[in-house]
Amino acid sequence: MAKGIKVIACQVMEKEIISIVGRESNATFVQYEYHDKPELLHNRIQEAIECSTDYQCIILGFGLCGGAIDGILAMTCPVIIPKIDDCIPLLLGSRERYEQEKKIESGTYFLNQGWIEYGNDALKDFYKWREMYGERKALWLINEIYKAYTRVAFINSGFEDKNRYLCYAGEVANFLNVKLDVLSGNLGFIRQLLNLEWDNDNYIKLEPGQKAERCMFRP
Amino acid sequence: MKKDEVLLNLQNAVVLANFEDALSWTGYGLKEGIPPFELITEGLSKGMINVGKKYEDGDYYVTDMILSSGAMNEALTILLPFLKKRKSKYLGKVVLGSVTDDIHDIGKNIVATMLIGVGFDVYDLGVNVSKEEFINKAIEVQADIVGASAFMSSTYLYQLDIKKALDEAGLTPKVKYIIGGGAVYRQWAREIGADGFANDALEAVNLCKSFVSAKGV
Repeated sequence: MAKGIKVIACQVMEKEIISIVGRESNATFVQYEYHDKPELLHNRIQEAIECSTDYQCIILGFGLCGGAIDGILAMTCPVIIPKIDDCIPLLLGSRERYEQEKKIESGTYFLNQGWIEYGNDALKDFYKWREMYGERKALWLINEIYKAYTRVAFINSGFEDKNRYLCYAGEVANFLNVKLDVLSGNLGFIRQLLNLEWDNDNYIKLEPGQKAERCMFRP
Repeated sequence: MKKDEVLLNLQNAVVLANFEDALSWTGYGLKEGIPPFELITEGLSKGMINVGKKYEDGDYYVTDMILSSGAMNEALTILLPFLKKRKSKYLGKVVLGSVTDDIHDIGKNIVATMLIGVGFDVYDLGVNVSKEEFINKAIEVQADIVGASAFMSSTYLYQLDIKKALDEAGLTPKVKYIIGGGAVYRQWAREIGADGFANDALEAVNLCKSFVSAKGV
């Protein structure tokens, strides 16, 4: 008998997803660190799919994520994937809102609690690169890689402990010498995804045996 | 010091991303009368090709490539003014940019540096470049190749707009159009009728070289 729905998502959205499905749900969170190597992230997600047998369907809480989703194969049940580049539209509530925010400021560096907890940002990169290359080269890299960013936007999903994350987002903005904006998060997109309220415009459905392709992510 | 040693030191400066050495060996090489073009192609560029291979083999991180590219660019600031006087040496002219609404440029910048390194005249238009800017620059400099990078699946459709604009401006098939970037795939290049797709900087360089050698430049 099918066990219902399995969620496989990036750990940067763990808190948002748990707030909807609860801690007891069938959810697996994949470590963010694999984002630096899309092929490794791909393998971890595929392994998680292969370990998830007897489910009615699997929902992926990932976007294309640097191509990591390209080639993901649905095994014994359908796999649902939101049609997005990364998790930001999921945190903001829609692709439209994401586009709107990018129009307001194309050089926006988005952060949420999960991203701050597990992901990369300019400050963490600086400390890592300082270890690897020394301070001068680390600063040169920060300037080179983050030069196009003109604001840090903290997506507030409304969790009680948000203030310390907001403070940290401010530190990142200060370090980059850009402004900090606070954007209200919206869990509507994640909720739709988890409630299987999908349509072809926003989600991709892979039938068993079908592979995800980059072209499926076209708006 | 022998010329070969200077060139080897330049290669090493790029491989090790040593900005100071890249500058000082370039200055030394010029003082010793080594032609600027040779300092680039036999020194800096060979170093950068090594870096590209190390990245492909998984020995280097992308940050290593960016740093090496930075070291090479430091040296190029000294050398490029010399090259401008010797236009005949260029393999061809390449107009590059990241498409509209796309601010990602790390890969594109490495491609630009490596293309300069092997002898192309590169016009890098930067990020968030409109199709009109691509076309106008291609016409202005009589480009041989136009390259558009897109990192997001929300922006790579602009690569199709650029292809259409190149066609409408009558620049194709004379001007070759290549695409690349994180969101792009080989099949997409075929679908939009681009002349080539590059998955990384080395492939981009080889692609551009193949176009100009086919032309007999």
